Amino acid sequence: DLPLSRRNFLEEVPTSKHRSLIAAPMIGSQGESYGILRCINLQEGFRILPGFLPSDLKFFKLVASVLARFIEIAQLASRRRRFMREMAHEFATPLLQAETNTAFLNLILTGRQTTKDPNQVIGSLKGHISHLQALVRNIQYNVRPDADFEASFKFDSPVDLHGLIEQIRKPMLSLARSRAIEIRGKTSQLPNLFVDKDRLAQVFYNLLYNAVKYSPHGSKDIWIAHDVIDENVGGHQSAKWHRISVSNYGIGIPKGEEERIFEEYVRGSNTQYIRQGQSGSGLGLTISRRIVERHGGILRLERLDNPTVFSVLLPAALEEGGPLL
Amino acid sequence: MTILWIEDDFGLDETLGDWLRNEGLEVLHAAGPKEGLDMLEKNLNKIKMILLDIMMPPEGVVDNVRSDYGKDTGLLLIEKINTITEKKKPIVILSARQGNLGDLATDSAVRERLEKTLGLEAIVQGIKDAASLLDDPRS
Repeated sequence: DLPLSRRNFLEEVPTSKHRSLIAAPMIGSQGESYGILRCINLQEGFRILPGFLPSDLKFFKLVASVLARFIEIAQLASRRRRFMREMAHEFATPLLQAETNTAFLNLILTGRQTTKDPNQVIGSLKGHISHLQALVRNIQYNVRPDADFEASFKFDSPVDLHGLIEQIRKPMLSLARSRAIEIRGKTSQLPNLFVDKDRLAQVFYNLLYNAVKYSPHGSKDIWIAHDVIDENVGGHQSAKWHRISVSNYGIGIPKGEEERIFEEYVRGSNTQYIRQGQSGSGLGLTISRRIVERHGGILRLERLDNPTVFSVLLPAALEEGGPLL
Repeated sequence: MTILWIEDDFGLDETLGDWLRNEGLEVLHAAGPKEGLDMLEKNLNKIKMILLDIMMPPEGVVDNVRSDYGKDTGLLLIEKINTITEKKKPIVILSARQGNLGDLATDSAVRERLEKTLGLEAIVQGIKDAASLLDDPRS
């Protein structure tokens, strides 16, 4: 399935009279195509050269596969560098803030600081530490092999999901308020569900943190809301779902990237370089979707912008017991 | 000594900002570029130095190219700050961005460049050093 026909090759060298050519596809180790390597043998004027031999083609194929591998390695290296840079960014601010909190506590303990409320400093420190922990968990979950990760879920007891969401919403509120944004919750009607508490907490943390991160100062309220919907979603059996939606009035998701943003290391094209507060590993949504799917649920983008809405759909059957997977 | 801090990362004003206040600086915090320029115009006599973040949303201040949205907002802001201050107020860059910032960062108004990963002590020292130069008539 070569993108260029034989005719194209020949038309590229209109002045020569006689020629032969060989071409080989450059295919990477995962089967991805990096284009076609071509070699044209010109036979012009006094230089009488023989055409290509079968052994030339064999050698040429080898050259093409080696080049494909080079390209692959170079791309991987560049993706890794970008990931490292983003991670460094992502850790820099919470670390600086935690360090400052610690320095304040030291001043308070030695009586050299009286204006700061120690409880507020500790609260802030806790917030930065839990953010760093969430970042580390996103990385950890991602490096575990699929089967191992899937087997590690626990569904042994019903979880008060509303309480869980409130536990995440409240500390996040102080972050949001520093941007003059409120986070409103409307999840009190959520029943207890057989879910993996810590893993699902990670999902709501990621979604809420993204919502704050990508909302400009003073933007409209962020909502985390619950409703029950009846819907047959692609191949899923349960028609009744608990839908928990997180909405924000932020920079939105560019059209055409609705699915791409769930891929590993991928972030919206409008998020790169924005600022440190908006740097990211591109792991949060990927891992969140895996966690929700392990519950037999769905994580989807419902609306691109004004507001941007992400929804977690959990089967109502989780009211009775863990997922049948 | 009053400094204007243009920084959009949340929570930094309550931590590092308060720390600088504790060190005796008066810090006016602007949560974005537009707010920053407004504050600068309104408090032009009072503000002696500008502490500037680089990667910020460019809305309403500088044109942005979608592909590297917001990457250089702070750098593009330098020219606007210089217009308001007639280049008479020093700028200290405080950013998470590493590496070469290019020509814009070499503007003569830029007194110092600090990275957020330097740690609290070095950052505070860098800011205080830049501020102390202001009190020195020779500078």
